[in-house]
Amino acid sequence: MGETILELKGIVKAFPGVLALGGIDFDLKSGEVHAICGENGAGKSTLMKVVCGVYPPDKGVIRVNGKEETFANPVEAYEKGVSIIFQETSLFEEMTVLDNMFLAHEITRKAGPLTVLDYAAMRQKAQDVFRRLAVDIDLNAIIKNLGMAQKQMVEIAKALTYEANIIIFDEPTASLTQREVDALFRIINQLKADGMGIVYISHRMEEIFQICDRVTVIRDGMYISTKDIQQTNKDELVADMVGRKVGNYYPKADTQIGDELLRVEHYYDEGFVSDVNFTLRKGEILGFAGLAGAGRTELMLSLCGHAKKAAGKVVLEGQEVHIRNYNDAMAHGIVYVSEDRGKYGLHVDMSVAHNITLPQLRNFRKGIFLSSKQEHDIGEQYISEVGIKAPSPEFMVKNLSGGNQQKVSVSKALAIKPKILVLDEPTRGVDVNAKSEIHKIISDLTLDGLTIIMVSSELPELLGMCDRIYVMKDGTIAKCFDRSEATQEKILSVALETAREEKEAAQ
Amino acid sequence: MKHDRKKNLTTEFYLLVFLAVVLVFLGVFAKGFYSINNIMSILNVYSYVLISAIGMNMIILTGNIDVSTGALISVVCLVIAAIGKLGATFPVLLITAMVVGMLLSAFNAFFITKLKIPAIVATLATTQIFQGSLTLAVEGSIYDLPATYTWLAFKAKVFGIIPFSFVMCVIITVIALLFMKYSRFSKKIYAVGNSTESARLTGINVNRTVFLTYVIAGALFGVSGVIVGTAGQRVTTTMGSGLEMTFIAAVVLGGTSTAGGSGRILGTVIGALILASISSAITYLGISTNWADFIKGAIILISVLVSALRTVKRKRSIPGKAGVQAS
Repeated sequence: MGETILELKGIVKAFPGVLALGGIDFDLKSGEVHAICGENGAGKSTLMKVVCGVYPPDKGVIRVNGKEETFANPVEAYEKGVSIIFQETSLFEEMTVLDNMFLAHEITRKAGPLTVLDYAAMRQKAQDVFRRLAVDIDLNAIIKNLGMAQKQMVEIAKALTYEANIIIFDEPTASLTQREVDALFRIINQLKADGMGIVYISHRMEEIFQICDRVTVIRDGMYISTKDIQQTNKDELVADMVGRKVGNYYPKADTQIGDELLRVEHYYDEGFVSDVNFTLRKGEILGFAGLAGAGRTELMLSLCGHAKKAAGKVVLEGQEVHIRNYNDAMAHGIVYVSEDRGKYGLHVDMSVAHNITLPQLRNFRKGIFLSSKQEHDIGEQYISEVGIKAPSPEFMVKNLSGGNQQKVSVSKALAIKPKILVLDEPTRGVDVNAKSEIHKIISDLTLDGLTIIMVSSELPELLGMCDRIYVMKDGTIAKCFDRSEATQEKILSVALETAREEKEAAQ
Repeated sequence: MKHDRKKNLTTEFYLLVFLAVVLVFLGVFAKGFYSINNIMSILNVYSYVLISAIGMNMIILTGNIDVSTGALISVVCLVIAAIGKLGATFPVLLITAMVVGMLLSAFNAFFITKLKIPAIVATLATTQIFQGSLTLAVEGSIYDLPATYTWLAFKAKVFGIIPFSFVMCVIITVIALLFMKYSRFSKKIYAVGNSTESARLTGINVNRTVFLTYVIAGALFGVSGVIVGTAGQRVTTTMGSGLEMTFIAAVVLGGTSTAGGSGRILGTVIGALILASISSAITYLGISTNWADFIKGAIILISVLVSALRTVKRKRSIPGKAGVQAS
């Protein structure tokens, strides 16, 4: 390993209402692969976007190849030798491979008084880079016709056309098959041998142990630790990622768990979930854990009729049901509360009462007109029952706080009188107090005989609230934990292990 | 490999086949369609349709549109008629027309880039402004224009037969083809049309790119305006009305995506020829000219549907990877 080529000191970045990065230190040497890992939302990707000029840092110093730099956009970063391969590739879909590789830094030549593009030189250089990477991609191919792996190769090749000596990979293996991952690792090792520094962002443990030299863990935007890979192990890293949070109080009510209410067998939804089996018992709170992209939300949306191609057996109260759209789901008493209340859950420009009555307007009318009195009454009822802090049912939802908006979202679902309430990330983006209020509401609902499915990325929340927790991974259920045996460490290590072989076999 | 090559046949190829079929059909059934006079008259129409369509193609490639082109050309026509009445010669008329076209198109681009008004709304509004200011400025029409003014239409023939407008069109098309292949600016046009956000992250000045594209297109609209405006001794306030639809149709027919980012000048060259011949073909086939617009519309619908179906099929058949091994 050589000299330090990238150094970050005390990087701070805040977004409205959230401190995304609270003073991160990091350094990268030439000829090393340095992993950054952390849970969903720990700030890994934000940190790298700060490094390459997508976001300006609020505080802190970035030193590249010994010089202090601030980049206004990724191109400036590229020109100084820093390039990033985004999780979602940022290639131009309708343009050719060659155009993408040289966009905004084309090679030109003089043709009389004019400066024209020198395709021969660009082709030559592109072929040199491809030869170095030992890949073979048609330079005239249109990007949209390439697979994920090829797109990634084009991105890497593009970085090399800039003479970058620092390459940042943001979750590069998320959508690759095992064979493609092997090819990628071969390239990374070669770049490393050429003396480049590589930042590898991932939460896949075995990959980190396979190709990285050092690993830095961040948690909730804070720097936790940096370790040599030989001197650490998976358990230690998981412990660092999870932290030892104590003192969280979850008001779990003592409910009577009844008989089986819902059974799902061999559930399949093209591209999202496959062979999912689970059962839900009356009165229980059932948790779904997993990493972002594991298919939890997709499974719930699909069960609620938001997918056309789903297949599998769904048995509700002993009877097989076919849910073809959300109205069917509501008729069967299954109601979904979206993880993104602003986008899918609520109409923020409408009042509290109107939001609550919207899914079932037919029940709030007098003759052929809507009855504003009935709407007002139900608004009043839920404002007091659920404890929405709104001055009146006619109050605009957009003027409420995040926590109270979430309560409106839940009220809207409750007004349908569901049997099964599916809550997707019920406490995302709400403050600590509102969080525990919402937990209390959820808990009380089970006392009234409601059954709840809760999808959450916050493990303490699942551990505190749920009777059982299913862990999802790569679109299927990996394991089920009982309340008594579940711990953060156990859940995380199941969620982090990959099911590559199965994925490969499925292709 | 054969299968792969078949997949790579371009929109341009299908259009060319369609054009050839239509031309043969007309040769058999439309007596007189291939008379010298008719061909020269079609070439004249083709010239102004293609010159503007090239400009429109560039605008649509950036993911924008311009529905004010017809009104813009009306303005150009009246301005050159006004100076033509004073005896201005062709070069003066041409330069004036291009400058007026650039200014008016820059006016459009100002609303789109600086004030962030969607292109369709902005140009719909400027259509009314352009058209409205004409009726305010001119009472009906400018007439009794001198021979210096109508030089392009009546005197300017190469070898005594080929209209000079067509020579202009060929020169402009060749320059445009080279420009879209060999200039750095053309890559920016495509990049902006693909994704403004990615383009910005790549360091491309999106507003500047869109603005310049409109200005270049404006100059081309101006050239078309000269051809349209100098065709007779009388210039009315509605010389260009409705032409924008023909231009947009030529671009769409040529395979350019209205979402921006994909499409080539070559497609527009063929698309414009099809549209420029329709009216004349209908006359010579003995069908009422009232059918012209209907048939234009039908051809556009069918071609868009066919190309949409082809993409759907392609997506199904290669889920990602197969495309790379081709070549």
